[in-house]
Amino acid sequence: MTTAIKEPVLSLTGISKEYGNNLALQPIDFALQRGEVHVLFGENGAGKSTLISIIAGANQPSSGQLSFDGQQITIKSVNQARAFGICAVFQEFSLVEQLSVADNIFLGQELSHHTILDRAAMNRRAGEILSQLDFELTPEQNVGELPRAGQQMVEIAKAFCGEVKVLILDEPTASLTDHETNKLFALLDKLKSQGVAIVYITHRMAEIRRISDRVTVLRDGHVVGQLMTQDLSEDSLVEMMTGDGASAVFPRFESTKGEVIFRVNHLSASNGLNDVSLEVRQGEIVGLAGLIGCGKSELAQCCYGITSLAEGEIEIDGHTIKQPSPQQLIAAGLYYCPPDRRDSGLILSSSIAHNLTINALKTAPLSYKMSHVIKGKNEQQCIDALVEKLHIKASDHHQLVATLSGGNQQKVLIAKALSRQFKVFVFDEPTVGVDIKTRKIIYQFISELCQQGAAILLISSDLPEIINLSHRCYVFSHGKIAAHLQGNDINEHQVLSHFFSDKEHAA
Amino acid sequence: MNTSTFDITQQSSVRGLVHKMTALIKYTFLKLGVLPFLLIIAMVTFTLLSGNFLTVDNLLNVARQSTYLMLVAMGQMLALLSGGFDLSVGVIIALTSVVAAMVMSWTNQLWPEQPVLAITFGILAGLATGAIVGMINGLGVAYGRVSPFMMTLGMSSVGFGAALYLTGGAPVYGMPEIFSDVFGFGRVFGVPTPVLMTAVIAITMWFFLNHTVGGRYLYAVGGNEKAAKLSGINTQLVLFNTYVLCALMAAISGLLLTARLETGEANIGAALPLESIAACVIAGVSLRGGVGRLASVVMGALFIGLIQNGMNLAHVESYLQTVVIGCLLIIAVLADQFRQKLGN
Repeated sequence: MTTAIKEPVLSLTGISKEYGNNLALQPIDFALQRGEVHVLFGENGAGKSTLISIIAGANQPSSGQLSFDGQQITIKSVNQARAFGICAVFQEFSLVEQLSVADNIFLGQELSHHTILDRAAMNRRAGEILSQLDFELTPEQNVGELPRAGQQMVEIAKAFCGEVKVLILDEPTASLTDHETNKLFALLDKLKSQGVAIVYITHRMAEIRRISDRVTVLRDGHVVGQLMTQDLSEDSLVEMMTGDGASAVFPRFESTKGEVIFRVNHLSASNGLNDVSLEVRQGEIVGLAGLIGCGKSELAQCCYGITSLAEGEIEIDGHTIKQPSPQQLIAAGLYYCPPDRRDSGLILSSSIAHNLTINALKTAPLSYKMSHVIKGKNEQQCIDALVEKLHIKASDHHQLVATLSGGNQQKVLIAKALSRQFKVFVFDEPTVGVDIKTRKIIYQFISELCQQGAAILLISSDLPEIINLSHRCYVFSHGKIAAHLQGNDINEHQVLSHFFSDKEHAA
Repeated sequence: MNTSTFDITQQSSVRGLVHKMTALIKYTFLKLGVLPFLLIIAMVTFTLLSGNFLTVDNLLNVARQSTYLMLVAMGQMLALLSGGFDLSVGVIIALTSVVAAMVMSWTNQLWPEQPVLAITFGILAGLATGAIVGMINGLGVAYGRVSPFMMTLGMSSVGFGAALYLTGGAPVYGMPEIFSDVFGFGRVFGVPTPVLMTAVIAITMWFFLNHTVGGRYLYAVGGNEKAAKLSGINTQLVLFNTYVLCALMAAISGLLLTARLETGEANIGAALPLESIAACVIAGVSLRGGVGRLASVVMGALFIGLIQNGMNLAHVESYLQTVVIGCLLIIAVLADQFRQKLGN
């Protein structure tokens, strides 16, 4: 308990963050001590990212106080945070691929000699930082040519070009190999002994045990608990993360287990998928679980023809498809709900109405066969039905999707599933970034589909979703299926153990 | 005491009126963009500057003069809706004009008694020329993933060179007179043929954009190409068709201009890429794709015609006129940025 007496280097009092009407972070207190590794733990959307973005100066809090070294401060920008010695390594890279490693490390704080860049000094200093970190990179390399792990190292190295007092790392090991991970951990130990405070976000139990001193668990924008790592049990952590009473949100029903209608045979692809086979029956929900990049989303992309297959084939309703394309799959009766509604799900500049029917415009009920003239009345009826079914809240159907709230946008995306006759539904992160009420509507919708005999593939990083909705579940790890769970085996402990198992075995 | 209370109520009612007016202006601006305001300002200015401006004859004249730009602007709108643009519309007009005139005069020389045959061949050749340029643009943009800027800029150099090479820079004469009589100067029920044709094409285009699957797909591809693709749309085919259609609109405009000028000219249409984009942008068509209304584009083209006519009547030098058009384009884009900020 030695850490408890140390003074905090950074403390937050009543910090909150609102986005519109949505409270992403409830007023919370949080203290960070010198020389500790403090893990933030929680589901996606629990508020971890919001919290670190406030500390790092990328976001301004809606209320509350920050104090640093006992002084009250406000951090208006990332640069200002850096001046205090607060550096963050975010999950999304902020690298300029056309520039060299050294240029990226010093981006925004270039060393110069009377306005002329001092390249030699920057290369030398970058070399020192890289060798201090024990990263095998050269300062002159172009960042665009590096593999993802290499880019991750550059991103970490960026944090070290000034004096660091607080270091924030958001899942830094996601794309590192074991060897690189061990080096990073050794470095963190060294920094700790120098009194640097480290905020560390991870989902991996092994990492929490290996490096952290304390863990703060967040759920729905609240701090739900704070534990010393030595008193920690995995079960209590997961329980805190998911919370009680979550099951009321999820409808429960038995699978009717019809015929196998969707099958994936020995699929491999360049995005890391390695010999994956699975099947889905009519009237059942099959969950795909795993960490980001484990292959669960990648499988859906391959099945839908977004990434081309290297090997294998898919089978839908008796048809074998070797090189799938969206058109082919829609015609065969598969609906794919992409994980990012703004990027690839919705046409934000179009109306609700036009978004809802875009998949189905060429079907007989909505347009004439040869002329492709739209049957306005039929389309209107279809739209009315969908808006009502998912309780989409809007002034009228011509309202632009861009002006809707996130939850209602997601409902539009989900509702597209009913615009024509589909048999197989692939939902990739169907409830990402939506509130509990919308979640309930979406879960209800999915279970109704299933009870009517649809085959559903549910891909989710949200563990309770997988555990409570799926009849069967495949856990992915490193592009492969690590486990196939059924019935009572689908529980937090089993699923999580396979999330991490691979990495621990390998180490 | 009484008078002062009266003053206060009058003041507050004036303030209320001002408040209502600003609210109305803001609403119109958000809903329709900058065009209605520009139209009002232009009408008032030119009416004050010239007594001949606000007459039925002159306004009909404006309508006729605007049709050539209107056709091109409607085509340009398709390219803008898809998320690109077409800088080659000018040379499509020139090339169409030259090819159609040459084919017409050859055929006319071979069969002088068959002017209708010559005109038919000429029109078909002109449309085919436009379509070919459009197809090359479409292939490059949709299937070769060349940026619309480079593709259409490159094609405009190719087209301009080809038109000059074919004619040696000289106008092409020898078309049957009836061609100009009908398509250049003809009237049907008192309405000039070009105006009538443009009206028919505009209505067809409106129907296409708002009531057919093809139109809906165009908005979808321009709005979010990724989402369109995932919705099963053949986005490459949509893009290809867009550039072909855009080129055909320019070709029709080129044919009508040829009829009006009574010669095939290689150096017409140079200002049309800019003017057609200006007409669209002033009408609120988004440069990012997926947003725009046909009726507004028609009004936008009319507005530019109006400005040019008004400046002619007010004896503004033609060199200065291009300065004004360029300024209006930039103002329209600035106003659009402001509108989006206000809308959020």
